[in-house]
Amino acid sequence: MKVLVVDDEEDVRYVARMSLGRIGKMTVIEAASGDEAIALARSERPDVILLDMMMPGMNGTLTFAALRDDDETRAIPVVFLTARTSSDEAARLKMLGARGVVLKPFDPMTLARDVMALLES
Amino acid sequence: MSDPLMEELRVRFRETTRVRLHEMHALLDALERGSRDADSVEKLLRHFHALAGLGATYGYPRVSALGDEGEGLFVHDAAPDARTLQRWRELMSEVERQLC
Repeated sequence: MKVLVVDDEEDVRYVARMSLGRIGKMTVIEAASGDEAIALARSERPDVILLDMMMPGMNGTLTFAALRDDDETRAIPVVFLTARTSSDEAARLKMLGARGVVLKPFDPMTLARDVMALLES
Repeated sequence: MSDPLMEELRVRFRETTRVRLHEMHALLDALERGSRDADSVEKLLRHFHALAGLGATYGYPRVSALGDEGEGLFVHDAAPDARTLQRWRELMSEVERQLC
């Protein structure tokens, strides 16, 4: 499974890479911005995108909308990574088409399992 | 915490957070000298936000709580007052102690 991790924080990308790669045995590619994420989603066609909500410039919501507007990336499941969210916000994101939400701080020992559970739900 | 991956993550977090704190202190120094530019405040906010989101993931739950408190002191479109600046400094010092 190929996962695109999108977050402007290198420390988040690092721990996701270690967790998903070493524990989940997934192939991890990374983007530090929304623009980079869209380009990588088109060229790499990941199986799932983990998308940070709060990024400078193009934030998670705008990036998600751009992915959904593009025929080449529309079908890729997106899981939001966010520091805090209300149940209303999580429901809103799911209504927009997101596969789910992983809250930060997340547990690196269970991240791969949590992502798989969302994909299978 | 005895898992090799968690130990590796904790070592890295201590290293990167020391660099982050250095930049946070420089930003806070500028704010305390009277600079009130929104860019410095925004950068400081993002650092506290990052600490909140990262600490527990890397095995430092207290750092997440400290980052969360720091982030919660930001007031949108308002310059921080002296009391807030002092509290941020205290929170950063406590983060440093957590890394020891």
